[in-house]
Amino acid sequence: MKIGKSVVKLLAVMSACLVLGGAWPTQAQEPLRVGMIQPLSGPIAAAGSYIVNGAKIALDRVNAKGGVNGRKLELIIEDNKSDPAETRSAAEKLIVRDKVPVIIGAWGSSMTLAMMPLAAQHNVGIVVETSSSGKITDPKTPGSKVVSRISPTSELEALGVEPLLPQLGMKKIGYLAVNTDWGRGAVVAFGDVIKKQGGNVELVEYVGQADTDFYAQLTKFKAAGVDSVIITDDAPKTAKMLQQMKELGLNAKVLVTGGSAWPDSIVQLAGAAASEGVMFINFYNPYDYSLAGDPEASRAYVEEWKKRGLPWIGVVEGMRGFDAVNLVAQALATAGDPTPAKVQEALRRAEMKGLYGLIKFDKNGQSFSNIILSQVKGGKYAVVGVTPSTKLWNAAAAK
Amino acid sequence: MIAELVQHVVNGLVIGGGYALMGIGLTLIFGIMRVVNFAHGEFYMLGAFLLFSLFGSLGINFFLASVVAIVAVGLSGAIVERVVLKRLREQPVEIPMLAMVALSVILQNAAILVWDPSPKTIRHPFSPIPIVLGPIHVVAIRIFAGAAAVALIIGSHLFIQKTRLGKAMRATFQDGEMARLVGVDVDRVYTGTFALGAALAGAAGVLLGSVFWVYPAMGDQAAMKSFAVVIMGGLGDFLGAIVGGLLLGVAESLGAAYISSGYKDAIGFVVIILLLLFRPAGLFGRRERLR
Repeated sequence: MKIGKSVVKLLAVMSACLVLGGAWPTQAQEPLRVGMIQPLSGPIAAAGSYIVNGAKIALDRVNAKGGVNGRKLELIIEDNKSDPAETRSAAEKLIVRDKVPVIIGAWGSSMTLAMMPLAAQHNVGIVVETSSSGKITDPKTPGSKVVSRISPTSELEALGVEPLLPQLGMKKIGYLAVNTDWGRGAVVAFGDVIKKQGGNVELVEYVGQADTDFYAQLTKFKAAGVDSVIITDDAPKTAKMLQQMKELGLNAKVLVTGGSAWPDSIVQLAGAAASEGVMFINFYNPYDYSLAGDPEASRAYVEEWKKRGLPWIGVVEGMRGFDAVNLVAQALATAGDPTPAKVQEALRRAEMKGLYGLIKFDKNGQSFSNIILSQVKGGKYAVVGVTPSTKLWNAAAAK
Repeated sequence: MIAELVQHVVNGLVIGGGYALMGIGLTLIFGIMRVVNFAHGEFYMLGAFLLFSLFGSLGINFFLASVVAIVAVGLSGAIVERVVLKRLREQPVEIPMLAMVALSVILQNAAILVWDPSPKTIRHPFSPIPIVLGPIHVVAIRIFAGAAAVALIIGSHLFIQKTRLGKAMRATFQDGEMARLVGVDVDRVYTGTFALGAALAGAAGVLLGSVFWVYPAMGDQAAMKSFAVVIMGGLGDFLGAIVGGLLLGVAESLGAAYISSGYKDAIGFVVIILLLLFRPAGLFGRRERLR
């Protein structure tokens, strides 16, 4: 019983601190609060934590420059546990209880899709920072009207990398994708482009979001004699797939889509031997600031990432959070009155030079990003080719 | 064709060995203590992370670090039993169950704080170059994990059959009240059971964590699989958990290979539904027995 009493006392003290602590900021000017939903637990928690890291770097930069219209910018960060249903609950909490004017989120396509109808119902805008499924900005999808997406769709990735495909010489392809809207969408998008280039996706295999063993799928690839493998999944699982390919003696060219895995992360996670020669579709290169829409912001971001001692392998993923917060800060500033409707309008009209490239939105709320084809060469980062976002914008305008 | 089939079966058996270890731990705890251990996956995760820290960060010998990690998870199981479950013994069955749900959330989030959520690889001393037997490829770490799982399963079987504590465990399983009357220290049996169950989960984490990788949420899926194994084998059935684990591993591997990899997890559960339709008391159809 003694323990019980001291716990009660502790709780009393803690709640008193909360009440008092909570009372102070209201005396100053009320900060602007923006919602962010990321996977911070569950199988893809690492990716979500990198995005939050990037977002915090942008947040501190915005506030160091005096905030937004004289008010401090704040992020209310919610964990979606890598789960679509939890994403919807988190969005409901942010919209109904915290009354945020805009939400950044929610990494996975299935997670983002799960919260879109609810956000649309309350007319709260969503800035999508990572998800790639084409469905999200398809006007037929419920809730797509409130979406402003800075990450490219799988179709845009395929389009951006198309000119580089012939030199890769991928003929007989096995496709290994995560069993979500992201993976399933990418299989369709890349299948189309590969076919145009004379290759053929002979086998498509899916893996669960929390799977660790891919022997069954890879054994099938080996038996079918594929010469190339395309992977659509996050960095840790991609690394394991590459290791297991080596273990099973499956030698093939590998292309990794989606922008979350990149040479440095895969070399660290899978080792140099398993990752040599592997190619990646990326949207950001932390070694070449000139490729970003705003080279100065790119330099500042990378330097701050290093200064904070954050894991280097997360720097390419963290960029998404950095751009999303900067974009939201800009939209809040131009909207003047931070109501959901005004902020959403400002977002759709926004134009920003970000790390993704030139960020602006077409009529469906989709932006185009730089598409970089990178490769592990001698255990180091190398660039194979680049399609700048401006080129994609011009091509779209010409159509 | 045959070679591919053999490769799939070998793949499934290695993973199944891990499932079996998890399942035995869970089935022992349920069979003897009537506690549904929702924190089982977190003991699995703890085993893997302890190995990661002892071997990966402190540089202790891999095999020694593995043993220390397993023993430490067993000890933490004993502490959980003494501090949490012992107080709840007279409570209805859902109270200890909820306590274990809470423990699972606490442990997983503590792991995120201590080790951060990014996945870690255990750089085990085995060669990554596969051993090639005709068309079959196996890497040494998987052979080691499979063999160690078999050794641990046999070890715990002997422990339950031959030792004094093991006999007391079986007696408590048959009739707790009666065992108490003839002088069995039931408190000790409970602590020992929970420690053993947790240690087996920790061992599965040590082995599979070395084969795959280590991250705070790794216990979620492992726990789900071990519940499946226990239901398949029959609640409280030691042999059933072993066969159930291997069966689930092979069914998933073959299902992913010959039906659809998109339904890999579903296939395991379809097998369970079929099994429950035809043998509702589990594989061996025994109602209450500990062997």
